[in-house]
Amino acid sequence: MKVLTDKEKRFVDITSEYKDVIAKVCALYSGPGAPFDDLYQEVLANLWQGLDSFRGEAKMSTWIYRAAINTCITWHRRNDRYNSASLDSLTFEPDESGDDSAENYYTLLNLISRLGPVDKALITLWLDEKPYEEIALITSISTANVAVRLHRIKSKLGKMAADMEE
Amino acid sequence: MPEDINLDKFRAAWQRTNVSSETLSHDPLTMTQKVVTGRAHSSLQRLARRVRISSYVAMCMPVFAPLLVTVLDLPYWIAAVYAFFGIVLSAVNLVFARNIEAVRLAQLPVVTALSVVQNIRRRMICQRATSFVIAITIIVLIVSTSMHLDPSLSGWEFAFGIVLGLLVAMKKFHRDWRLISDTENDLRYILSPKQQDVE
Repeated sequence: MKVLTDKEKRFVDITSEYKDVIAKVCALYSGPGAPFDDLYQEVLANLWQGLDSFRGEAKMSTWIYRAAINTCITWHRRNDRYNSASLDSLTFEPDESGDDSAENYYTLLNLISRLGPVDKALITLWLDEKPYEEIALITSISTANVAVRLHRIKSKLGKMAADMEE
Repeated sequence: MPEDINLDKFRAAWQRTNVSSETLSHDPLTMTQKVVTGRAHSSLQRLARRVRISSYVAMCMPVFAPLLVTVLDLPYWIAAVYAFFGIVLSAVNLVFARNIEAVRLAQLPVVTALSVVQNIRRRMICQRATSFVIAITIIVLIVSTSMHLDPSLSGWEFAFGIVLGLLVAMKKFHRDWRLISDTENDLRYILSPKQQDVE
């Protein structure tokens, strides 16, 4: 039986707790040049390497989001091109009331996947119900700027949806 | 924004979104350690490629050796020493590159892999230091002989060449040093001091 060290235990705890968060970020950034599995593994490797330097000054979730988003954006920059995501790995569980339609959901998801890397990070954090202050911390953008940019992104999504209908 | 785009509703649906991938069911620790070992291996292979290129560059030295006789009017033996140094340097680098390429970090236990990388670092330092001392000796020999044969020669051209050469060598060494350090650091991240396997 393998005895885990403190660091290994911490890593296993963190990854099991935030697995879904990391996976969702990676799924939104994955695409033809960036397979989901590679992105996910890259994020985990960066978390592992950065675990020693995490001093607990920020919230764990802030640190995880920052690592995941930075890794995904860096991956795309390194590959010198940005492809819209292939959303094959994302599955949606419809509401029990049947209020929301899966079709609309996937249409919106598809529109979000076409956003630029930073806009995508902002909208992902907003979708995950992060407050503006935390989004600002994660993305290193001022809180006021986060609000402005999110407003623009929402308008942009609306315009993209309207264009799609035409 | 058109009415049919209801982001707030979408946000609620996003909470019920799951990612289905086989990767998520793998043990994160083992998977991560494999990825980090892969990175270390990739850094080491980049170093091997650079050493191999150095070997090809050193192969050019015997080709340029006759110029020492025809352009600088130096004695044949200096050209021979210069060419011989090029051949030896090329051979040593080629063997070194092949040895690095043969290392399969992923197949080794981490402690052994780390020890292999440290040996490569030590060998790199020894090899570079020896090459540097011999190269400086040959350069001093070429410069002093040239100036002795033709006192009208200005030392500025030599000085410029030496400084330029030193800068290139330093930059190259710095890059190689970073690659081997990255490899070692990646392996150290995997290695945990208290890790032990017990039955």
